[in-house]
Amino acid sequence: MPREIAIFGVYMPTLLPLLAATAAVHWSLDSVLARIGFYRLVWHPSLFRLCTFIGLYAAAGLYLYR
Amino acid sequence: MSSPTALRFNLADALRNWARQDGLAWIFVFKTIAASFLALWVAFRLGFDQPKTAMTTVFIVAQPQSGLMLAKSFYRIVGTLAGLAVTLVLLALFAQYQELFLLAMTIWIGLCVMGAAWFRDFQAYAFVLAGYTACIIGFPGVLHPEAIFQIAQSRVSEILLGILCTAVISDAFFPQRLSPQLLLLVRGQYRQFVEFLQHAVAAPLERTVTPADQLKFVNNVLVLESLRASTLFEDPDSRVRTDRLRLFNTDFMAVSTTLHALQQLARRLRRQGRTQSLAALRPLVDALGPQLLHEGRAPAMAAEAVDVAAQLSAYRHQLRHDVHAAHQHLAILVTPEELLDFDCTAELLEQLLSELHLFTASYAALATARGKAERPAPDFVLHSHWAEAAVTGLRAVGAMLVVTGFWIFTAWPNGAGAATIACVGCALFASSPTPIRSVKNMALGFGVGMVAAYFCAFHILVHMDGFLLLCMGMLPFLMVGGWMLTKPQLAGIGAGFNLMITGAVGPENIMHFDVPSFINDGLSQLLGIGVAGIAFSLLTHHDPRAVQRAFAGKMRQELVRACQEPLQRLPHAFDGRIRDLMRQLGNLPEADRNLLLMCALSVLELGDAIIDFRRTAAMPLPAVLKPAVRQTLRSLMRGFNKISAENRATALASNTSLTQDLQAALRYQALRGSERDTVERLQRCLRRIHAVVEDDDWYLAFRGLATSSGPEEKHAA
Repeated sequence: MPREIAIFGVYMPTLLPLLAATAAVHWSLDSVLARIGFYRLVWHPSLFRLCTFIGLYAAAGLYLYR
Repeated sequence: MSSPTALRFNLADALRNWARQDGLAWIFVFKTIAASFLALWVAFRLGFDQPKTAMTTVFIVAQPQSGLMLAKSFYRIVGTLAGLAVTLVLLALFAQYQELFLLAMTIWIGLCVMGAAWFRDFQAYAFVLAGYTACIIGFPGVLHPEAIFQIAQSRVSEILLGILCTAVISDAFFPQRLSPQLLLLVRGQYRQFVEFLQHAVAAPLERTVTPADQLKFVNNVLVLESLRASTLFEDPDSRVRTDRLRLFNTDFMAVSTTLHALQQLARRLRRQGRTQSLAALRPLVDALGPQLLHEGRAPAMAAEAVDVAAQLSAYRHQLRHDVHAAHQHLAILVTPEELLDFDCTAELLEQLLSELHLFTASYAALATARGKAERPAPDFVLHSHWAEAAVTGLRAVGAMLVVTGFWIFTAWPNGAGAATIACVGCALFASSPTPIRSVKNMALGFGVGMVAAYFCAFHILVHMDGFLLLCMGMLPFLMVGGWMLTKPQLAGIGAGFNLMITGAVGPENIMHFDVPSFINDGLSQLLGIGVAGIAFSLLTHHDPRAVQRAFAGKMRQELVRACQEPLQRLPHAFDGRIRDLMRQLGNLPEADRNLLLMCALSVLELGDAIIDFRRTAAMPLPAVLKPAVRQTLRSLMRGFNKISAENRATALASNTSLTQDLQAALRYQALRGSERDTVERLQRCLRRIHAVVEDDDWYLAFRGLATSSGPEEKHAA
């Protein structure tokens, strides 16, 4: 994947659209986990969510810059 | 008493108390300051043009509870992006013509402020921020059109950075959750209502809902709705629960409206001396009380409510049977008219019971059930008045025209700052109940903040070197501002104070210590907020008579809407809007308020009776009766459109004639079973409408409010 991307003629780092994509993935994952009651087993749900998000985004970034 | 142990206990108690109240407040203060320094540090590291924007953003979005904070951030991001898009388009169109560009910006800001006044709660934030972003990108863009893309990109990054830092810090460290608060509120709401019903039952049919009680219930309904909307962002669990909460709230509104209508009917029966009907009703009402209790007390937990819901459901058949028996018994004792009155009241009692059952069931379902709600949960509808929103928008346009005009024609170098602050002032307080006081507080905060910022920048920071010392130098000032944010009376001053400190001290990549430009900046911000304040005080109702008249007009309009809007969304939309109006009444001084509250309650009763009437009329009905039904609705509507003694008499007369038609139909026509039911129910609905319209207690007051033509009349009288 290219590290920079042009959207409607605007040149931007690919990390930016990746951020939006990761946010969408995280949102849906999050609602699935909430629906099956997974968060009742977690000590600090919001920390868990934050870390899941960081993990997903870092994975996407590694895929890009590897 | 003064033994060492007692002393130690007191000390421990005091410490615990402190930790529960002030301790939480200080956690919030330090979290906010930490978020602002984090944003500043990241902005420095990434080499943004104006790191102070990121820091300011943190103070704009900071809220003591994390749920409210996340909700605000979400809408703020949406608003920021919308403002960015519009400003870029406007600049592309008008970059060469400063005046045209500023005019277009002014109109856009007016639209944003209008949106902020039309939607309340969190959607309003998106509009406020759309206007604000347009200002901080667009106004520098006027001066440097060639650099607009660079400016836009860095400002938006700084704002988003500020939002994200606040969200992360506030959510991950010592989060203060809204969900427990919501749970407490739901429990309290249910318990209070059951206790209240017990009272009403203990003094059968006599105690009426006082305005203060009603106002408390109304406030709870609206607080619950806004908490529901914001916990949506906080807690994945509440995303699952949100439909149930909405259902709980809707059911609560229905049940409290019915209770009020029932009490009003009983009051009228009492006044007319209908002792036999009242005597027949009393055992029915008395028997209702024990059905609400679980082992002799109000159910404290949602789980206990399951049993109560089952009890209520079982009791419905019993009540139906008892009502029938009482009807047969009364039929030989009293006149047909009085029998009709009894039937109306008994019907309402049955309605109250079935609504109580639904209410209890949805309360119980909050704790136990998972997945989707059993019934569709209607949206909560707030009362929005387009004319008022338009006036608010025009007010912002006026203020912006004055400031930008002054800026352009005097070539004032600090005009952009003043215009931005005027926009923020107009938008932020568009939906505030007491805008003038809020603007004054903010201006006061700016004034105090300016003195403090001067001291901070030119006596402390000049001696400091490096990021850590910069933070330490600003810390005490930010602590004072943050502490004020946590006190409701000082919150406005605190917000102004913090904005001024971060804006005026303005940590930059290369610090400039320039006293004249500092004073110019500060004065321009004071001037901006001043113009916003003047706009508010010129274009707001001050005269209490005019405020009362405006409220009466809105209620009249709601009644007209109850007569003609499509039926499927009506009952809860009408209930929600009237309740929203009633909450706005809570901001008025007590003397003006009670009369209006009484009117609002009667309007609620009347509107619900009309909606019932319309629903019943939509059921199978002999064709000959339909024109008369429509005629009655029309004459009622005319009576609400223009309140006068004559229109009221016409409405009452057409109501009576329809009643006679219905009676004739019952007596002489061969009706099918379902048609007979409909006609009988129509008769009862008409009776309820008639009783409310006929009631002089509120109607004369309402007419007085709706038709008075302001202060001149009072002088003439």
